[in-house]
Amino acid sequence: MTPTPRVVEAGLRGFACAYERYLEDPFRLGQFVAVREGPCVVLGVVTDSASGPEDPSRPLQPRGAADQSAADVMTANPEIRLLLRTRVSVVSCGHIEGEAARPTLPPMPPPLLARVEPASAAETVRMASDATFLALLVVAPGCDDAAIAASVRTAAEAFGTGAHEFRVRAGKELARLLRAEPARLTSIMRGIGA
Amino acid sequence: MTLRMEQVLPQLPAMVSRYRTQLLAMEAGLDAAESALGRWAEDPPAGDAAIRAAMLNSSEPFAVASEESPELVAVAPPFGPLTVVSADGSSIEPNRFAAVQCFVINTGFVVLPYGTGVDADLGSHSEVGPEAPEAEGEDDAGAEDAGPRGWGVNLRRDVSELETGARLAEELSGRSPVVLLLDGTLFPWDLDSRQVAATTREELTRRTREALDRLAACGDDLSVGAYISGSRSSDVVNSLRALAAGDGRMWPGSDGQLFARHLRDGERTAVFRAASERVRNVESLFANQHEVCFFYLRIGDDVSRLELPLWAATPNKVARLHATLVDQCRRCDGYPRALQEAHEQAVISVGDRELFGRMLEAEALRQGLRTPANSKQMSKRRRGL
Repeated sequence: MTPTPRVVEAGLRGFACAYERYLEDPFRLGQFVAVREGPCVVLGVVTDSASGPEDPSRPLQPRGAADQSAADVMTANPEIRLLLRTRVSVVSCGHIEGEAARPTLPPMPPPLLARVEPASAAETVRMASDATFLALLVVAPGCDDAAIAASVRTAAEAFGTGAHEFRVRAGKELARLLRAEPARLTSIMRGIGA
Repeated sequence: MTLRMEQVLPQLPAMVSRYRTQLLAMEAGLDAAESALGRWAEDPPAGDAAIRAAMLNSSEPFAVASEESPELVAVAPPFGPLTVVSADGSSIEPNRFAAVQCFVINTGFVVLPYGTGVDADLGSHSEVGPEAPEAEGEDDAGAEDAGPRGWGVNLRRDVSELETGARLAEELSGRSPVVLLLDGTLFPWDLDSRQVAATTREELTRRTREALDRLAACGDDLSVGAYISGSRSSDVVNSLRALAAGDGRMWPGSDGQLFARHLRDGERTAVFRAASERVRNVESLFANQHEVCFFYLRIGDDVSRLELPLWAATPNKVARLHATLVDQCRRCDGYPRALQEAHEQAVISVGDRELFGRMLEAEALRQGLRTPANSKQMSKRRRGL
């Protein structure tokens, strides 16, 4: 069963979630995730992911012989994996209340310790269809150009055969949002692969 | 600064010099002790008899030989696939200034598989007590913050560690070879402490007995060792002094000092059987199969003592324990990894202690109990001029 991370820090503009243990394949950069607990479904985009010791006073020492892979070292030191955590940062990009999907900040933060799950393709399409969700991303302090580009690529996959049209809409929206920042626009468009 | 360094520092050179002189004087005693060890090894039964006769009226701990020659030095056998389990405890003592006096025992545990396919596990479990007020033991001799000693918090913690280790060993034996490492002595020595209420001692003796019996029932799959780092015990040295009666040279102060020059890194001594009045007092509470045996192990400059029950002193079990300890210590800068991680799981931080105190006070207030004002405690909080 895929481990489910939980919200460990929550705000209106974003939240952090952590897995119970270290995970080599956590949520990916730009992935749409959903918190379905609380008065509304909060949707967000993964902007960062980091793994390390849960206790900062116990830094991870570089171990292992020259011919050992990371998996070998983990097997030879079975306690290490249990002392590590993987943490993911998410920027809010909208919320769903009943039938309405709004690309705006949620009315309240997601509950602490709520489960964070991948957004379904249907949820992603509902949130991203007009690309206005990008407005929240471009102003979010923790959301850099690479994360925005990755979110567009990820959302495009959910559109299936409509992926190209979605990318065009996203490009137009980004051009409108970043008309005063051409260098940034170029950086994101390159990241999208447009 | 309240410590007057200008008074303290000038005294240090003489202090260190005196200790150095003692060490040099002890060299001759170490030679004598090694010589006595050699004589003991020539005829262990005769040596044992001489030691027992000499120590008959002594309250000092001493040792007698096991099946192994007393001067045996064993190198570590190869480390094989097995699972290491360990338990360690931490506690919050009762606070006599609190509205409600109680204690917390937090027992950490680890399961570390090495090539066995068992799932690794780290965790802890906590208990708050006592469940019912009990009679106190002897007076607390003026200790300021000791709380009711009759509850035997340290003893309860030791027993909880042993029970946790027994539970894990029981669960895993049969699935893989298991080595259980405990921190400190094998037996909870406070079982004979009159400061602990008799009813508490009786209950904890029963629980200790059950845990030891469960461990013994695990069979050939299980090795057990209670690890004492930097041991100051002198059982063997006392036995050797008894054998060398009349030798006036300065004798080594501990078995560790003797075996530090006897052993190389990773080597262990023979297994000895512990014998003393106190050992007998506590051992008498249990079946003979749990008689305490021990050996010393050198890792780096540290000579540690490993205590194990008699039933765990078979060649195979000792070899597995020895190999595991050397491997564990190499993984963790000279100290067994499993013990370190069990400690990390058990330790109660200053913040957690304070939080517990606040939560206890809040619950007491909620139930209408008020913390009595105590002038000494208040004066410690109010340090202004």
